[in-house]
Amino acid sequence: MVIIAKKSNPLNPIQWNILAIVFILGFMPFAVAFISNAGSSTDEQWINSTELNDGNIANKDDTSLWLENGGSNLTSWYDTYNPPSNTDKLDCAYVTKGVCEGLYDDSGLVNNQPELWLGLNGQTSTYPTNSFYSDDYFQVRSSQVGQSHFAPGSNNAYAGRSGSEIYSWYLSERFTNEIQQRDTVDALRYWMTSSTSYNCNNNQWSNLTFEGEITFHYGNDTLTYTNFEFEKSNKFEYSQFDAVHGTWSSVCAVGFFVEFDFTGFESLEIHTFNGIGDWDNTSITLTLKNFVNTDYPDDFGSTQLPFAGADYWNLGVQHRELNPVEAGFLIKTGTLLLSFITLVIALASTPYWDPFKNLFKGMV
Amino acid sequence: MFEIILYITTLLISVTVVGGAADNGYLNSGLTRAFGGISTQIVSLNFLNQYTNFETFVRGCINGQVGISGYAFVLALGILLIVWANNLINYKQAIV
Repeated sequence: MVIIAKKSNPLNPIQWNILAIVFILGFMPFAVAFISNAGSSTDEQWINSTELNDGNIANKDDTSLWLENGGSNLTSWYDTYNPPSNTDKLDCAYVTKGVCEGLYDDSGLVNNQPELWLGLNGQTSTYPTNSFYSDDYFQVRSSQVGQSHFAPGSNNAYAGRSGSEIYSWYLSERFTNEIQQRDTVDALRYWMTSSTSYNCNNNQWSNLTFEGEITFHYGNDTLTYTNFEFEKSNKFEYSQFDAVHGTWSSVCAVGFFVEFDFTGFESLEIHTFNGIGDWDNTSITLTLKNFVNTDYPDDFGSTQLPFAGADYWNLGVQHRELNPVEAGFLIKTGTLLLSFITLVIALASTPYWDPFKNLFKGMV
Repeated sequence: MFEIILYITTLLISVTVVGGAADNGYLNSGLTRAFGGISTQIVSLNFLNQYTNFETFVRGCINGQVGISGYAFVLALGILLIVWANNLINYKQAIV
């Protein structure tokens, strides 16, 4: 009589299934994240993205716009505290999807002015400069533009409250015209500060959490990245030169910077998307939303945001570059390796080849 | 197409989880199995979609942004899913 020994199986079916799930939900996302980030550097220098020139940017000719200026909760506040008035400027108390919604009154929606230009139709000086003020130390090139309620504020209609829901801006290519043609962008950083400075010791500072979204526009196409999360303080401290006493002192503005750090894979995707780095014809929609004051989570009303108000704020843009050849090589090689591993796992999952059983023999 | 790959992947995960639970005496009724399966699929789909860049990566591979390597990865992933689906049907376990 011939006895065939039963082949021992080191793992039971459940354990094999767990192994499969771990591969898909554990190994695969980590491997993809590792490959996607290949070539993305954190030690490169930040470069000012806006060209230093004498031209006025963000005015009507450059189509930079407010798309959203605070969210619908602002509407109820204005409805309550500001009597309806049919003037063009008051129409822009609420901007939604790039359109000034106007104030509601008994006759319905009033909409005289269709859009709110970021540069306020040339009313403000938006020349990019190398500092926020003429005598400060902070070397980020920025442009001074109108805050969310500059237009109605000039009619003394500003309610003085920040909306917490959504702020969004369409920024023309002139905000990023210092990014060289054919460059690949690894990260973008937006500096936002109020143009008014304050004593650093006052108590208006808050800790914030909010979310970000960035959309690139090229031709008729768009490419959007979402789910950026930020934890920031609205206290922006910098040094200012006191010309009278010849000393530097600390001053504070309401502000912060937000950083959109792309994986190497995403950087290459953007590079391909905008015609191999055609930054002269690439504009950007920047969105910040769902603000929470973590010091007072239930009451956002009096929280200061750099871009909310009836005055001015400074918007600066910086970028970091990526070597597309190096990143492309690492990503493609890594992807090829992951393909090979996946194929081996597929083959090993069949009854025809059992490397796992040998691997786990004696271990379980 | 990348949505299909994600749905199949998470469907296999939910079938695996529900099948394993049923084999061990849990989720005995059809209702609890359906609830467990759908919940598992939603959670794993959200995980892959929102907490990882797996979806972006697969989409880029399909769109040709990673070149031949990307197509090879999508092909390998497709073969793996077919093998696991076949194994789950015939052997009630993903890896045989």
